[in-house]
Amino acid sequence: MRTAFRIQVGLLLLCGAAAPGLAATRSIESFQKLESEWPTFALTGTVFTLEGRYSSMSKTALRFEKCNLSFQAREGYQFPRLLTRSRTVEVVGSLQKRRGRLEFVVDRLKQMPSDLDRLHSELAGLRERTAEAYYELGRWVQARASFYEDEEFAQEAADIFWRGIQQERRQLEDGDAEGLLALAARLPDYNQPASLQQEYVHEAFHMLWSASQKEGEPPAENLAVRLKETLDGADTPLTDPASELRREYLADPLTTYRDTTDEETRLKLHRIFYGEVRLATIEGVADPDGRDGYMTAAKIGQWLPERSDLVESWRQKELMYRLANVTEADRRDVVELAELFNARGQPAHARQAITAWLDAREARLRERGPGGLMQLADEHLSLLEDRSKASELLIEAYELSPVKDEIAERLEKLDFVREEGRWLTKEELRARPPDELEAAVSEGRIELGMTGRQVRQAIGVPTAVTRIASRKQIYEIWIYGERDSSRLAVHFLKRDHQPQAKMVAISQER
Amino acid sequence: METGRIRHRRNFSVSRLLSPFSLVIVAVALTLFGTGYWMFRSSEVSQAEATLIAAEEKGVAALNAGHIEVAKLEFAAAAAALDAIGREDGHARWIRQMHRETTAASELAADSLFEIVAQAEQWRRQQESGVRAWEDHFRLTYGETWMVFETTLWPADDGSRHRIDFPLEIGETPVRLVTGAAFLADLPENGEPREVVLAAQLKRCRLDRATRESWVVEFEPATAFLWSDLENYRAIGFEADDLHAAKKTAELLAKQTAQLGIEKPGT
Repeated sequence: MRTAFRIQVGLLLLCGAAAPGLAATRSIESFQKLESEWPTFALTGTVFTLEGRYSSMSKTALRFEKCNLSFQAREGYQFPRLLTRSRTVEVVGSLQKRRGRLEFVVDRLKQMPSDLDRLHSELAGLRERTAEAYYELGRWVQARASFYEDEEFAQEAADIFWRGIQQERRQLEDGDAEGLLALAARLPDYNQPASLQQEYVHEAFHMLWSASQKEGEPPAENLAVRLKETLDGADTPLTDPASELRREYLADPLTTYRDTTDEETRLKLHRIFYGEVRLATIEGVADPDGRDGYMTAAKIGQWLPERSDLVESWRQKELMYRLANVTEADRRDVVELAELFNARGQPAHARQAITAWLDAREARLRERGPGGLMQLADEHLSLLEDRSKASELLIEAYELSPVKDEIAERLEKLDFVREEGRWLTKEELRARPPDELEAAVSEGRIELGMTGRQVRQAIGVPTAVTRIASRKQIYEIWIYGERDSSRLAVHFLKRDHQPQAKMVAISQER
Repeated sequence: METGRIRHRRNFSVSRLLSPFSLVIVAVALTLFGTGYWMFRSSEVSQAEATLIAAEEKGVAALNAGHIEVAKLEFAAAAAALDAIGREDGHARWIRQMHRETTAASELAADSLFEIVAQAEQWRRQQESGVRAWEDHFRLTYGETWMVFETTLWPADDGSRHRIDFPLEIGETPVRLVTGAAFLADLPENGEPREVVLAAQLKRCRLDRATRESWVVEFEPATAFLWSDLENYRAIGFEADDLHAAKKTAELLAKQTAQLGIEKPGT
């Protein structure tokens, strides 16, 4: 009695223990994980409600996919005929040991909606279409697809995740770049393609870039560094400027990026984007008037070697700045500036620089009188090779200066000749209408009225010269021939008002 | 007895002169005189020094402004001050040289040598006593005026120290320049020609006494001096018509400056 009572109590206790197995439906996957406890369950007679996809089924026997347990209908029971194409069934029963092996005896079998139908049903029945709800559903689909190795169903997971991502994306505040970056970082977990992740990352950085542009300050260095570290290819200079691609991208970066599918082009876009940000960090601290153009160009050349167009543009900017301020430069600077322009094939600018500088100095040098005019003439010669201007200045200095030797020497080096109180070029001298005296010179004759130059040209340099000064006139005699021989004496007279001495007499000394 | 008394009177005069008292008087007188002279001299020297500084400054300013006459007067005052002080250094020589040059430049003869001798020839031909009248006219018009020469000096054979080669004829009458034995006496004479720039005063323009067929222009030998200053040289109208000649003249004047022992201020 006591034994039976004990057995009944034990059975009641076991039934109580079996109650949970009866209440919750387990998937075959989770049941499979309990395989080590199946013998215990067989002893205790725990009732389970299991669901899963069957791989084969007869009237009394059933096999689930991914489960090596045999499912047998209990004695006297036959599995009902399945009405739909769904291969998902739910069975209620318990484990038993029969003929030395474990079997699951099915007390009841019911056809369930397929996983796909269930998914659709779950989707339709989602009360709160939050991102997390989608993710949870997606995780179920993912787990299910993974267990059953169902690639087609796995795609549904990606789809559900995508909905969750969209939902989460919508909930981000406008301009929440860091939120978008965090979302992008999780995309691989949700089976999303790498291109989508790239797109989100690109868009997030573009938000940061746009925000910095609106602030009006140069983007922080760390944005450029993050870009370089995050976007593949950002640190790799392009082999060609990719002007067309750049233009297209800069017109609509997000669309261009999204529409670009090949990896190689996306890498170029990364570089272009990085280039724009890096350029902004460089140009943002550059002086807008270009005074530090060469330094800016050097930085661009260092960071963005493919942007040789910008390098040249900044160099030119500095040169033009220096040209605009050339009047304040010193001589060394203006010479360097002219050399730089000439090296760039811009001789007109080179000349303009020197001319402007000389014009600015002219007034100051003129104040110094003949010395300043001479210095100005030297500068015109050495810097511009402007013999015409130089000679004009030297002639002016000559008229002003009491000390004329040095000026005369310079004018003679410029092929000028002093004739009748005027400085003439040799061409001008030759171009003068031929007169009798010049004709005589060319014939080696001397005539009254000739200047000293003409006499020298006609008959050569005299042996001796004597000049005597009295008030307001100089009388001189040029002697040709040696003493104690027949000598020619040419007499010159220069009165105070005359620019040059003229020959007034000639005598032959016997 | 008389002789003795006379003898006694002589002895009395000499002894009175040599007495201690009179010697003291003489010594005091000499001292007073010497002191007075020294004081007078010191005052004269310090006044001369002040005059020298002011006159030199004004003279240089006048030269720079082209006022030769004013420069002459200032350098004359400066030279007189140097004489009072008794200086003979290089700078003092420069001041004296400036005095000479400004004097010559401001007292140049009114006409050229050619015109002067041409006048002489005309006087000779037009007047019976033309030659003597001419000499008087010359003395009044051109006497003690100056001429400045840039020429070659040759050894002379007419008793003069140097000869200026200046072949000039008026009509068919030759002209000879005579300098005299004392002409540039300090210039070493080595028998070789030398190029010089010099100034000298006209002394006379006469007909050669022996031949009466040539004119002789004489210069006052004691007045002749070598020129030194390039600016003063230019100021009187000399201007080279070619660079080579200008350089040669500048070198010549520099050499003459060194020969004269002149130290120009600022050099």
